[in-house]
Amino acid sequence: MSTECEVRFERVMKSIGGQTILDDVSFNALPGQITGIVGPNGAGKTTAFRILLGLASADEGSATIGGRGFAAHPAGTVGALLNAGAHPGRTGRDHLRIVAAALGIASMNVDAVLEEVELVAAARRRISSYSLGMRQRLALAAALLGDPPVLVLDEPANGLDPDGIIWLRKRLRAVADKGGVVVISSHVLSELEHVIDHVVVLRRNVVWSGRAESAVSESPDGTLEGLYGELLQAAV
Amino acid sequence: MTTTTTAPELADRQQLRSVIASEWIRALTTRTTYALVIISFLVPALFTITQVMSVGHSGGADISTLAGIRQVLSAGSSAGLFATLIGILAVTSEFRHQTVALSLTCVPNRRRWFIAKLAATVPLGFLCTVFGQCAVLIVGIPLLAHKGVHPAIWHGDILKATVGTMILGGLTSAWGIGIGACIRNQTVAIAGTIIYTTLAEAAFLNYVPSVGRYLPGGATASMTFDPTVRDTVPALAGILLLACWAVSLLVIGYLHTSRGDVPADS
Repeated sequence: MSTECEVRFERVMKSIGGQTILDDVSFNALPGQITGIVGPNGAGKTTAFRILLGLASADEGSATIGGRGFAAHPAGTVGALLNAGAHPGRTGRDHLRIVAAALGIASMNVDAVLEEVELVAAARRRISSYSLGMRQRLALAAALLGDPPVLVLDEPANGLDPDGIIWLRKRLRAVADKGGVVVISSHVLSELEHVIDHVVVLRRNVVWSGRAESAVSESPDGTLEGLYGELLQAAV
Repeated sequence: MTTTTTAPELADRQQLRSVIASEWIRALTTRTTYALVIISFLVPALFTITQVMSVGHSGGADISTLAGIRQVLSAGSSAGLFATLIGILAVTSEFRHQTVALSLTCVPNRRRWFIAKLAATVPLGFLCTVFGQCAVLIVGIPLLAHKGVHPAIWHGDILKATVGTMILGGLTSAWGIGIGACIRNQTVAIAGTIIYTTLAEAAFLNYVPSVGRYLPGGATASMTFDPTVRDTVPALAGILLLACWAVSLLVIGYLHTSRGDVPADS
């Protein structure tokens, strides 16, 4: 299996305002797998993603993709979703045209990805008129532009309807099946259980890491939720 | 001697071009940009009408003199403020609408991101003051002719003032980018800039002219040959002075943007 795009966190430490957010965090996300990061609010999931994407720096340790920092990769290697931020006065299509131009991707890809996220009908409407789910689809469309081999998605299912969630699962699986790396976070454990291959339970540090099947088999009630509850209770 | 361009340099240039194209789309796909360009035309036109209407009244321009004609035709520089606002909005909108995380994941090289913003915004700022000065001439010349005055727009001082005003927007929009990068809160950046340029600068020029002439407002007055402001530096020095202010703020803004973490809520 290629390790060209392997995501690796090595002994990452991060404090903000004197408060430790990440404490000696190490884990890998391998190509061909969907890795889910779970943890309570404030566990450091988003901070870990921000460090990986070069938006924040680690106090110690490193977060790399294929052994290199995020900025060392060509544009379009990593598709990221950290929030669904968008200028409300712009149309959805224009929002994606900006992203496509920055990545050096042809604008016909914008129409393709709009079709994929089922936003064609709303593409020329201002984003201010979009629902939460439509904004999330738009953010996912931005992450998927150019078909990147690495996806880093923070709460990707936020606001999606059941059809959207099913589509997202299939799409993420397709990326992983092509040898891509998918790292997602979610607080909806039952949702993650259906899609991830590898699970990392984070609470400032890595509380548990392993295959999703092992997590379920080790759980008292045979669910990811059961293991999660037990681990966090033990951590407290 | 021949110079060779390496593959990484070519890739770097290509990527910069892509990011500039992206920033162009960003600027041209919001109504605010168009509104500011239109206002840059309307406000100087309105000021010019007011100036001509005040002729013959107390405090009005004496259009029998060249200084009076220049005063009537000086409103184009007011478009410089709108050029500054375009620069401020180019940066602060990213933080206000939480798009900066997406932008910097598309363009992780913050220097490239900053240069692209500058390259896309300066022509728009330039356009603001070109429109502003055109509005002044389109409205002012016929109104002055109606009053029996036929100024030659190719006259040295008027031409220099026209050219100076047109250059102004490019510099003030760059200044605006620097302000936006230093003060990321859009409301604070815009309100602070308006208060500074309209009140603080005017106070310095009136009460402490020895300081005011070296501030951006003094430099603007000199490069636009504003006859209402005295003791300004020479016009060329004014251009260089304003360019220095713009570069200083850009450097501070760039350092502020390039170092440290991107705010978590953006």
